[in-house]
Amino acid sequence: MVISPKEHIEDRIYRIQEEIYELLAKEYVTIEPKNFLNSLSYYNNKMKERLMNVEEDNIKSIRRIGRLLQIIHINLDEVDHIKTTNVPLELIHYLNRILINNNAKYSVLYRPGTEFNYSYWNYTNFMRSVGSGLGLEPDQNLSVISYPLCESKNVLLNCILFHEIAHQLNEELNIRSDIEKNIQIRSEDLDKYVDEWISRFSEIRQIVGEREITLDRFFSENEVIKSYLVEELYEILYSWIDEIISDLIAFYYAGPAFLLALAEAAYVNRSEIRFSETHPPLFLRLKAIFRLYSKLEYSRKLKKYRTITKLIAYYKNISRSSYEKIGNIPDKERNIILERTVIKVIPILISAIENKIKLSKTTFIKSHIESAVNSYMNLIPPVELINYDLKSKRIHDPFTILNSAWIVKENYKTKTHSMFGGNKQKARISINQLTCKALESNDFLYRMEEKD
Amino acid sequence: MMKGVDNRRLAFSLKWGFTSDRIVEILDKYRKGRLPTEEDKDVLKMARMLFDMILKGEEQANSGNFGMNFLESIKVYNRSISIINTREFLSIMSNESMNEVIKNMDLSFDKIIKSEPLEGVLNRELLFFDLMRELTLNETEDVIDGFYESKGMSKWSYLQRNI
Repeated sequence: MVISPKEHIEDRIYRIQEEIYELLAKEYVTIEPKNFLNSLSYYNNKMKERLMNVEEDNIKSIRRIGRLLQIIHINLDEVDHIKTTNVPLELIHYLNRILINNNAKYSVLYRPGTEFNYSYWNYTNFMRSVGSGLGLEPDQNLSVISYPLCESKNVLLNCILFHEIAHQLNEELNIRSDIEKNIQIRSEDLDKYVDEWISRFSEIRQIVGEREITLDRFFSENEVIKSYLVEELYEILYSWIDEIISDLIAFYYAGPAFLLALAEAAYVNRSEIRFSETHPPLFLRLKAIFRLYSKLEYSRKLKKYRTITKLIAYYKNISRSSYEKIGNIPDKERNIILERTVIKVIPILISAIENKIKLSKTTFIKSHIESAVNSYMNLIPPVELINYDLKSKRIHDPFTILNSAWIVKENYKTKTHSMFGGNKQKARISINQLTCKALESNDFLYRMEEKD
Repeated sequence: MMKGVDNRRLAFSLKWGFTSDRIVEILDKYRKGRLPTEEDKDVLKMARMLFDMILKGEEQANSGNFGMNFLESIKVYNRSISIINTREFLSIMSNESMNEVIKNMDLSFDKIIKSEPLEGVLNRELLFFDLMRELTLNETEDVIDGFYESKGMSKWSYLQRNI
């Protein structure tokens, strides 16, 4: 053979290792990028060992090694984007505190992504699964959270990061996995769906040779079609429920600040009914969040802020949408099944979350919010309560800082814009900077308290 | 890196892909007279675990009772249906049901692990795992290359039934 696939892959392993060494020589603001690089190096070396045991003509094994190397390569590229200036440190200290309070064993690597998207990836679970096929144990507990590069310092929008760390809590506290038995598609719905597919397959045809054949002939029994459809439905369902759990946890920890950040980002990006295998449509996510919103009585708490109330009413209206009410959309039957199953399970999710996560300093205290709003309106970082009583608590918690920031941004838009001569960008940047300063001070004070 | 479902599909296809690669390599050497090492036996135990999951998946699909952690069983069951229904595999099958084929293959692996004598030359076991390698490699490639959404339906046309 002129081309040697084995040699080619061996070269690729060598080049990846060189790149890892280069990235390891850089300085990062947290320790996780280097831990991640060391882990990628570990798997790269394991691939080298594996390759040595593979015969030159065993092309399938060689290609599979090549594919894993491709995954390592994608991750190297993403680590390359991390700089000391584009990591949202002001928020991640607090996010890490939430993980520690819940006895999370994983550490999180935060990295800016090239996609305009927030995402969570449990790197260790992924490698644990892949490694089980190779007899390898993961070398460390790490997950990876990405955020849009250009929004790395947009602390208000970055309230979505509460949702991303909530994925970590969901996995470590086994929230979804412990209630899997409650996630059941109604058997009538499933049977109807299977029947519809069988009838659809009988209408799909192809010419093979000179014969016309229909797709249903490839399935000897209806049970076979059913098991394929069950796989498809539950795979989507589990992903959707993971997302809903993370939304609910994030709402517990960040309150309306999370709701407003999520709705703003998601609504701008895509239609509220758009189907995706990985994420439930926005209307369904909002439906779940509003269930909790009512339970925690936010309507009463936010009543004073009329613009915010109107904005939230707009999102609540979106949450009233349903695949059952929408006319002709592709795969309507499937979407209805998924929607019904998710809606049925929301109350169970809420109580499972309440039982498992540790909540502290996440109460919407009107007087504290009001005080923080006043600080913002005077261009003072809302670190402490204004006019505080010396005997009472005086430092604002991140929950108050973030929620009052959103209130100022949305409810006092005209006023803040006029403070900056009508320059919207300056007003927005100012609120952002004040919030970052307040969160940084909060973290500093928290550490000092801890030290004492 | 990739999205939720894609990550699960990728982890699944790589896990069972690497496992199948190693099983084929071990069986190939075994047929040439090399007895399995202790490490090889651990890999063969993974094959037995896979067979067990396939049988559970079949039971769950038939009964409609989806218990805890059922998704991986359903997934391996679906892959095994695809493998067993290939022309190559059907050509070497006798009149057994799928359930019997899986149980017989499991028995062969049990004997190899226990160093007991085996009848036959493991053609079926080798073919099963070779096809599993192919299938999982295709799935890995589909996810990584971003072609999953197409699901290969474009070659089919949707027409009024007239046969």
